[in-house]
Amino acid sequence: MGDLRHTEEVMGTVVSFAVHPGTLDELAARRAIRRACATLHRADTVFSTWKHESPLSRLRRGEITVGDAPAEVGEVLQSCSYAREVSGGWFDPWAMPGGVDPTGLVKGWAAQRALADLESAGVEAAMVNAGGDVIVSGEPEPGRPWRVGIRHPFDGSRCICVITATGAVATSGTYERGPHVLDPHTGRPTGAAVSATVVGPDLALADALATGLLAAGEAGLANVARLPGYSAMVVGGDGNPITTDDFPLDVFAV
Amino acid sequence: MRRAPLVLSATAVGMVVLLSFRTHPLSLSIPGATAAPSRTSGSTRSSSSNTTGSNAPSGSTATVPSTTVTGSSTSGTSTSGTSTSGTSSTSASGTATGVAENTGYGIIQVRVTVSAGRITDVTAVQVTAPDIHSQEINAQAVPMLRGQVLSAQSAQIDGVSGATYTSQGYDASLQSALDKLGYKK
Repeated sequence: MGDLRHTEEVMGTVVSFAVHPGTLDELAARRAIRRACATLHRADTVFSTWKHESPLSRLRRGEITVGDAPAEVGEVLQSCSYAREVSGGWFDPWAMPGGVDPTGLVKGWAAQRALADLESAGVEAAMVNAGGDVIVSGEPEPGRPWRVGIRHPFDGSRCICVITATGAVATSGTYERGPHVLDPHTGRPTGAAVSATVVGPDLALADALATGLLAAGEAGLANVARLPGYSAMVVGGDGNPITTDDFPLDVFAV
Repeated sequence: MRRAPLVLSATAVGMVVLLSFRTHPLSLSIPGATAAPSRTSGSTRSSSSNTTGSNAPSGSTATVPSTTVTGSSTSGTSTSGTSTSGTSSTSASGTATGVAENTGYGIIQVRVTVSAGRITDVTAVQVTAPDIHSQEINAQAVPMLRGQVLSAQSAQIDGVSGATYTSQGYDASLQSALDKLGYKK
């Protein structure tokens, strides 16, 4: 059978799925997509900073503790803590005004879990693209890896490069977060980079690291390179990309 | 760290892509580029033409039949709304209009033309924006997204990392149009 595609409005963005069911029948594959979407909506319910009564909003206001909140909250904050440590403090949800804000990691975390739903159902290959944060498994065609374009920071009609993906690809850019990316160490704008991409096995961590790398700029590349399986690219204000040595560059494009 | 060599190869590939563009017929009309006045009241999602993708309130699922996408023939006349669906291995051709998608900055709906298995044009047939700010975002995003679709096809990209919010609605509308034509990305 052919591929299945699905788009879902959730978490303030749109998440698109491309699923190759393989030996799985279509009904089972669609059921798996529905389950993955439920996972995304659940993450939105728990972690939305826009919904006044979400557990995260209540935690931020001090109305509940982490212990009172659903178990995912503790899990995500633990991941945030790890990301803060390995990013050298460049990703720091506790440095945000208005209370802890794990938003820079949650979208990736939720998409990673959505992919896990598809994998556990037995699909052959899949891509989940959560508003530009991408996670893949398997291959789109036998012998061909997934190819992911990285949006050009100055020209959204182009990609600055194309990479081969076997796991997570997260990109953070000033075009999306505004020109004033704050340095969590000082609370001041950095202007170190206009775009940062992190590639690695886990999209939650890649998402967080890309957020931090955008603030850190070139100086943050070494922190990512130190992590097994992770690589990165930073595009500076001059438009020139700098990558770690093992960044899975396919072609410079288009 | 790696630097300069990348920029050199960028130029080379960019040239190749430009050249390959020229061999395909491209209509350059983008009627939606400056937030068209049409407006979908009420529901956030409407379908101008039937079939797949418009049934669920918060999502659209469609089966994309496996069709062979090769060649660069310039044949293929466009028939709006025609669906050359299916299971055959011939290349998809035709024109179809996608589902109207809510992007968060208004509604977007695109029409795609496929000729001999290649996307030859994408136009926004509907771009609405609830306010000036959204209009500005759309005015900037819509032409960019069109370029992204056409260039992504040249580079055989499966997805784009760092895409904007608006682009996802654009992609969703595009995908539903492609589904009607039985086109496989």
